[in-house]
Amino acid sequence: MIDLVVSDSRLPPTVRQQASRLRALAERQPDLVLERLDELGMAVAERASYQAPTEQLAKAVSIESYWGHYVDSEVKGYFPTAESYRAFIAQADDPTSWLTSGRRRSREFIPALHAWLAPYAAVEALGGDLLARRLELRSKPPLALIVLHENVTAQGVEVRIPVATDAVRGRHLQWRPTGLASGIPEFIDKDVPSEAVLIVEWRP
Amino acid sequence: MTTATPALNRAVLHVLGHANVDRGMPITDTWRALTMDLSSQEAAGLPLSLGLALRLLYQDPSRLELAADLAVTYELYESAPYFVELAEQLRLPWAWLATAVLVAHPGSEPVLRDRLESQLKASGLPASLNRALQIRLTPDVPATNELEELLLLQRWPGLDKVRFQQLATAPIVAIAETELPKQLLWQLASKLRLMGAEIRRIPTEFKQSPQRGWLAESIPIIARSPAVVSKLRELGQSVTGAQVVVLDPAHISDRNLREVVGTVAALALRLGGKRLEQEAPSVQLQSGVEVVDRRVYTQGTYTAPEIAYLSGGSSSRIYHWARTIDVMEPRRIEGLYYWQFNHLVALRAYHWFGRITGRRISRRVISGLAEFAGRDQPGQVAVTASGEVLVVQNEEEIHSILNMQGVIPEVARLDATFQPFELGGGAVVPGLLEPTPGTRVHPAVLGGTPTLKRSRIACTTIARLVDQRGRLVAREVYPFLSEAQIGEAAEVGHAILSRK
Repeated sequence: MIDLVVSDSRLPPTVRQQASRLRALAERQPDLVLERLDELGMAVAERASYQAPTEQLAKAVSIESYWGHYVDSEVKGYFPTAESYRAFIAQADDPTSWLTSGRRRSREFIPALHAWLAPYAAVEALGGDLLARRLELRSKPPLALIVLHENVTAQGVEVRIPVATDAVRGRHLQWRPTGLASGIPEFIDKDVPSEAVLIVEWRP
Repeated sequence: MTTATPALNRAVLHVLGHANVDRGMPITDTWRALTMDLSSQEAAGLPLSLGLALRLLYQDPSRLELAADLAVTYELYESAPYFVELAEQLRLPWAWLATAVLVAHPGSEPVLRDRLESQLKASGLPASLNRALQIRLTPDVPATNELEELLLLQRWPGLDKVRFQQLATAPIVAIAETELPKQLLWQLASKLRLMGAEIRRIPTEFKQSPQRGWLAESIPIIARSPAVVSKLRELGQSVTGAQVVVLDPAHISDRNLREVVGTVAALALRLGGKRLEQEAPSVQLQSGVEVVDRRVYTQGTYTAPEIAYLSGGSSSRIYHWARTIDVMEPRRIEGLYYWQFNHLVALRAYHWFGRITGRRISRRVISGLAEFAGRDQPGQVAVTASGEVLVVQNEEEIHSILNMQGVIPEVARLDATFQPFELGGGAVVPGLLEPTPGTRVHPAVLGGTPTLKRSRIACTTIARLVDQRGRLVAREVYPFLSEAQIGEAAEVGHAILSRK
């Protein structure tokens, strides 16, 4: 992870130097190194400049992840495990409707740390399997595709290109500065509120 | 008595503390990391270690909640005391909901349930959540709506086995723990979960009687002995010998574990109409032979233009590698040079790593994959950017490797390199096994050249025919092909022939 940060030329030299100095600690105190890399990443994120997105964005997660972090607690109360939730959604007449209406209402629906987004146009026509592969999710279908409104400036959604420190903070160990092999661009945001979400699509 | 050793506690805390809570499948991935290569003592102590780790995760709410999801998913009732404490501290709905499942388990001490119930008296939970909590604790709460009925039968399937079958409940598989090594228990639980099943652990020692409906006749029970049935019937559960799949731990291997879960899946369907998903191999050809099978991997007779099209290089570079890397030497047949599928895969992986890392890649990737002769047993193959080829026997191992935290260099599942990728400058290398939706590559069909699916018609043949005689003639020669198929094959064929 240190190498990832050090080799990302888009990061300020001071950040890369600070990361490089952590090499001495890496073998003896790996957890401390991770903590310091996280702090470095937070500082980078705070100083970064964001812009309003120019296209509609989306985020794909496994149903397991959606049940675990994005479903409203009252809805989750009816489903003790991700398996029970998935079984119900899969057999519903309108899975997308259940996924959308059952989401948490929160200012931090997608916390900044996990707000990795891709253009909806690039994934709109993809089924679950291709979606997982093209976005390198390492998840198996079915997936939940969280689609934001086309215009989300009113909800305060602003994005930037992710850098290595974002990947380290999110523990995205397979992230590369050159981006996804499929060529689909990724963006990272601050906290995404639930009001910014247009729909959550079921992708089997 | 089961204990959690300090080393295990540190290991569990480390895994939980670094778990990826967003990408991938957090519960599945974290469980794999927790249960990988445990000794029998460690496997037995895992639930306690997870419970102990909770206190140290209070400042990390996402991972704390993940720990709760893990405990509920794998019914880690041994950690119930720690969850009661957690729920008392946090007073959050998710903590109470998780704790309710654990304290209601017949392997938990009854006093824990009393402690939880006294917490709940002053909880101030909304009515719907309160009822959901109560349904987790007891089958005696009547459902007042469809979702409550769903929850009631998911938790207590024996209450109404017909309705359990009719409703959109997840299939349940029970595992009797008596004389079953804990490593095997966790392995089974992992596999069954991946197939969409909820796990129900039948403890060796019942600390409280299981409540009515805890099990049902429609639920398969994996056990060391059919004697589990009489024990359960004594405890008031409605079960029969027909539900039991007997497992002999002394004769378990990866292969017959797959057979066992296959038997369980068939039984779940027969008993209760619930379908478990069979795990499909990650890369399979239409013949059903995995592409890295030893019988297939070194087949093929690829020309340089074909290799160039399918790997992303140029014909001249292929000849360069042939001169400079021994294992890339082609066969010479009637004056023409031909490479094999392993050579193609090697060059493709080389270009793939170059693309994704943005830096120069060791040529050992080429020699490593070209030398690799395939494998005898079904399994997964991963490759590193330094040219190491890793053959693992199961999905759990490969996920463990992929999740290793920067300890090893860039690594990818081999089949990841088979997907289409951009080379830069807008050039796209097509999918290896399926260059376009209507075409395929199979090393054992026509030497591996791209062909139209379900045919032995090479794309280059169509392309040459179209070039020399036009599309109309091509339609006449192949009247069973549609215009679209002719066009698609010609496009692929031209792309190959244009490679110099």
